[in-house]
Amino acid sequence: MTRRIAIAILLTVWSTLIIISVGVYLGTRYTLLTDLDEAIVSRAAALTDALDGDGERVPTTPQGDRYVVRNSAGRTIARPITGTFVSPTVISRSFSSLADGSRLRTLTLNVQYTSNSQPGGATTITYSASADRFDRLLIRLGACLLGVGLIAGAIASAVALKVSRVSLRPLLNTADLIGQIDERQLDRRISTAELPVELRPMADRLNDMLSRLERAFNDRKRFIADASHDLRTPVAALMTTLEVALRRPRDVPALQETLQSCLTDARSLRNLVDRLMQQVRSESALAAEQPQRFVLSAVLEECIDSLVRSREIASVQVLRQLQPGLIVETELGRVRSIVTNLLSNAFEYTPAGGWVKVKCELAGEIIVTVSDSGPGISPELLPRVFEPFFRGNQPRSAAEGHLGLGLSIVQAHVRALGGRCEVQSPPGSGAMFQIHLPASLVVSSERELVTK
Amino acid sequence: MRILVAEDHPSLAQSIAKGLREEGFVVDLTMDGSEAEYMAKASAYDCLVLDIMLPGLEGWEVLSRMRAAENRTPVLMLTALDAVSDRVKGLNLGADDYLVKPFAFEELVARIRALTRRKHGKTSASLVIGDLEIDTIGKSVHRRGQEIQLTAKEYALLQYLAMRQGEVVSRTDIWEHLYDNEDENSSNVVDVYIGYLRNKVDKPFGTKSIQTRRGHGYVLTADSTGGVTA
Repeated sequence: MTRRIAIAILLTVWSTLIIISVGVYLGTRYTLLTDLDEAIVSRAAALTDALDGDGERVPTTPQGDRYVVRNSAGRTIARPITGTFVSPTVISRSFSSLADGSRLRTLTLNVQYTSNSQPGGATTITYSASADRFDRLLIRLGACLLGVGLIAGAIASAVALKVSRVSLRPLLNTADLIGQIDERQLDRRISTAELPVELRPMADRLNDMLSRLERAFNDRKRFIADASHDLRTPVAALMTTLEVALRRPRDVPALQETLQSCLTDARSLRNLVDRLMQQVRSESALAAEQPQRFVLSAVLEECIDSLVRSREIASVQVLRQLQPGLIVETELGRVRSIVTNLLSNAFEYTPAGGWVKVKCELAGEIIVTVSDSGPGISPELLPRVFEPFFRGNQPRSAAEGHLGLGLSIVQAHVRALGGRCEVQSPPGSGAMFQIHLPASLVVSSERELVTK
Repeated sequence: MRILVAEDHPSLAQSIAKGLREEGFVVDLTMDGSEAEYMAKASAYDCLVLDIMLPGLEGWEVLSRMRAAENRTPVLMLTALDAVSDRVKGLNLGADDYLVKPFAFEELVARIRALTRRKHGKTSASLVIGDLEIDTIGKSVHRRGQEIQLTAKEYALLQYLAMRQGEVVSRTDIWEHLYDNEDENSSNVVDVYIGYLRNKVDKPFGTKSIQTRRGHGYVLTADSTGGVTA
């Protein structure tokens, strides 16, 4: 970055210098050349004065100058011309080199003249003068410009490097700070006060990202702490049971009883681990499966039936109010997990003789409602029900492996499907959980067909 | 030694109780916090093993209510919370010791022993009353270098008297520390066991270290008078 900025500054300075130098060089060359040409024209004019008259006078010209005078027919004339030049026009200009390496500037002039002895006419004068001085001046100028350019360029590079370093320092400092931040220092933030205004939005975004990471990291830490806490008791039970059993010789029935108790604990451990894995998977994007088309009410029926069978909850009445023919296309596994967890939760809190109601309908969005006749949830606990490991007032039933993860799994799945969870618990009645899923998941619904 | 175990995990509670009983402790079990508070108030326990996450009433609360009521029973907190702050909180509330789950059962036993020893002002695991020596870890009893064979109940009775040597211990007191709530024996059983114990500890040596204070109870003293004649 430093090098890039320095190179950019350097290129700008150098290209400006080169353009200016070339301009100065060309301008000076033009001026010098014009000056030379004017000198040549005036010397050629002086020539006509010398030629004027009887032609016996030999015109004197500066040393090294050469000239040829031709008449209008193109023949070289030796005869003197009398008269005065009228408007000499330059026909051609050129440089030519002599064998000794010196250069000549040659101008061909068309000269109209008037004469008092003869009628006027046209004459061509080709006049060459040495261009040495012109060349010398230009070389000197070029050398000057080149020298100035090199020195200015060197200064510019030094300045460019320094400037880019200084202007990048806050960025480099920030980079240093970011480099130091690891999982133990997620509470550190980039201080925007000392940053240039242009870099502040970036720093703000980075700080936002750090905040999000910190929150996620803390959630995860808490999750792991809670999970290990919940795993400790069954592990302690297993260990103590085995240690006590091994402290003295036992007969077979006693050992069988011990093993049975260990098996119960092992099962509850397995349940805990299963739930933990479910929770982790429900949060992970890796859990995403291929969307499938299915009839929502049929899947709900399936979940209800299998849960009622496995739990043998004959004493709780299940009321179903399912909109038929609602075909959706989404991740079936997630939907099953959502419904099963909501239902397990409802059954757990519903006393014998109570009811659990399951309702699903399409009303702007897909709404699945699971309500129960249980004791409900107190208002101060309502906002926390979707937190992992939240257990409410329910006494821990360790044997069942109840971790308080069900509802947080529900929420993770619902979010993954683009929906949201709501919970209500009016005082005096049971809890009502509502899952809202986007209507875009619906492929077709009978109600729509009917209205069409 | 009578211990109250308040733990709501069924198999953990059962295993602790079973293991402690086999170690010669008398154990009462509860899975509910408020019941634990009531039981600690109603009976004299030598130690309370208290889980923190209890239904009914949290372990913290049980502990602070006990201490507020001037109940000085040693309390060993048993919990899955292992953060330093949790441990400090428990000790500040008046817990005497702290054990984090999962633990080694050996350690639990050793800590309970240490707590009960301290409760009775003893510093060592062996109790010496005159020429009577009781090793509370090996549960062996010697008098003048001779080993005395005792049953578990006799040993428990002797150890309890030895813990409070020189003190008159009432029959009800003994009964409470030697029998759990489910035991149907009446406190008369104490007299029977005192008799058994005298037959083994005093009679063969001609000593009278276990004495009856009529209307008050029993006292164990360092009596070795009989030793001279023997």
